[in-house]
Amino acid sequence: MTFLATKVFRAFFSLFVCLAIVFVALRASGDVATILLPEEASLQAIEAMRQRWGLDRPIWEQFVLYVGNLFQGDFGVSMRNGWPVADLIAARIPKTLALGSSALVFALAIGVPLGIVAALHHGGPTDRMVIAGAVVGYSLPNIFLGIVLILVFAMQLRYLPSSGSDSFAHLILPAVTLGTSIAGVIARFTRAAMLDTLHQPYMRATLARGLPWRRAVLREALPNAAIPILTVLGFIVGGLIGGAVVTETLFAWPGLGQLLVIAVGARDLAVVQAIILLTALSMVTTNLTVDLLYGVLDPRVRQGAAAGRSK
Amino acid sequence: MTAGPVGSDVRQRGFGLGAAWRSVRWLGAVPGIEAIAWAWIAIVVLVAIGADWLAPLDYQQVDLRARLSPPVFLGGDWRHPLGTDELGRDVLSRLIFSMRISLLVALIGVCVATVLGTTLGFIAAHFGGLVDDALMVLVDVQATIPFFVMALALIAFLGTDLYIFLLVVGIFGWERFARLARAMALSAKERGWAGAVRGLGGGPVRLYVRHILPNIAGVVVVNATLNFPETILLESSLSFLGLGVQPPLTSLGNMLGHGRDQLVNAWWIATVPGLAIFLTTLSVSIVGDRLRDRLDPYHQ
Repeated sequence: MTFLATKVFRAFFSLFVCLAIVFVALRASGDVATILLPEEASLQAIEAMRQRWGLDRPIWEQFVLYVGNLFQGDFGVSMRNGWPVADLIAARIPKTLALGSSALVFALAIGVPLGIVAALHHGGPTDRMVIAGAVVGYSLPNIFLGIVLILVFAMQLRYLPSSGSDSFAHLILPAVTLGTSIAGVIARFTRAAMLDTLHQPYMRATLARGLPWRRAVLREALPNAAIPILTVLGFIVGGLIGGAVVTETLFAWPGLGQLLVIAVGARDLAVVQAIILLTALSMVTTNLTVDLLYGVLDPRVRQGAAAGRSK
Repeated sequence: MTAGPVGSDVRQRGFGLGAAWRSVRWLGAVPGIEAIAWAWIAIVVLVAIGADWLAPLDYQQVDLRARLSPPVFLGGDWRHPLGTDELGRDVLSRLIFSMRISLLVALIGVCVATVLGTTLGFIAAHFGGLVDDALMVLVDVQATIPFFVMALALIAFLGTDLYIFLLVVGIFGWERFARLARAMALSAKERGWAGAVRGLGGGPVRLYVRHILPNIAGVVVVNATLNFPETILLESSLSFLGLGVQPPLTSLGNMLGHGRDQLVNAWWIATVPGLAIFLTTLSVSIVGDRLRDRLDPYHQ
């Protein structure tokens, strides 16, 4: 139980610090009332605005109010067009989730089998080729890969559209662009994890029991290898979020990343802070989920925590 | 902490100084790859230094009558070996100056991050207690948000001024250096010679700068080299979005961003700088990996 409690506490604590930093930055960057209202607005109008946003109260009260509003789903209004930020964001979340999850599926579909094949041919030419491919895939910058894909598949071959989000075909090029470097990471980690498990005594025991090699690899080695692969999930989700910004802009994909770029360009701080908080929330949730799954999948982690306490 | 037998160690490798996922050591199996990487780095550095003499034309000079002329190998003329862009500016000259700016921004960024992170790491190790805790919370929070998103937020709050941009790029990776310097300073303090320096009357600054720093310099340099490619990527991605280096200056990401709009008419404007970014980041990664094998005794 303490294992869980510490993890949850740490997660909430980093979120809180993040929230406080964003709040301070937001307040330090100017008065919302004077930013939102036209320059010739009367003093009364400004005063009314300040009262409405609670800007006339002490700073800690403002913070409580701010956090309270966030919990009610109120992220304020866009400083660019006055729309509620929550609505702007809600409209774009499905697009970003669609892109991110297809990129992840693509990366897993490419990375896991390649990693397994490389591990099974450890040291051979197949292994080397997979590794070199993984390194090149990981090192390919999203902007460069995306442009090459647009040139080849959208402009030369005319197979796929290069911008927009109307159909499944629109999803393919951005998902491949975003997923390629992650596929490289997954392939490398799968390979390393498989190499570790393939040499464990239980694999020999499984084979000695007479289980066919293929079954032993898929049923015994792979599930055990999945645990270390899980650890990079936080890193992968971070990579997806960061990469989505560039990829969405490149392919005119109307997701959160594109919204963030537009908001930064227009210095629409209300939208920016909402996206930052959402990013932090999803990262913390991912890391927490990984930690909890870890405890479920590998009982030694829980026992290790208990042993550490009793010492 | 919740140190598990399998988990903790993979985790430290994945997120700490070892950072197995950033390793490109396996490409080293290809014969001669390191020499090629060094050669490309040498070319890039020489081009960046000698940009003023190497560029055939002024990279900002607009020539509207020669817009979008193709490179030599596609039937263009030798006046513009790599063709021109939508304003008739010479792509080769722009590429040369872009390399200079991109390299310079990344170099400054890595230096700032190294100094900032190492200093904070030493401070955490020296004072311990609350200071240490506070800095480690900051490291945790930094790890919570993907840096690219944080960089965008900083630019939104602070603007697109060049110095602010350098500052943003300079913050990138500080937490890796801080964690590294803190861990190594803590272990160094346990050795006898650290106590001897203090006993002989050396102050803390003297201890850290004159004695501990030289001891960990190799590891710090390796970490800086491995941070370099990611810093180039950060710079070019931000400039690609129009939020980094601002015109009339140009950088590789900047060229890519402008070239993206001309893909239909002139594919070379975007692909040439894109290729330059790719080759440079890959080369530095390969070299950095070899450096680690030689200089980092803690990495197996």
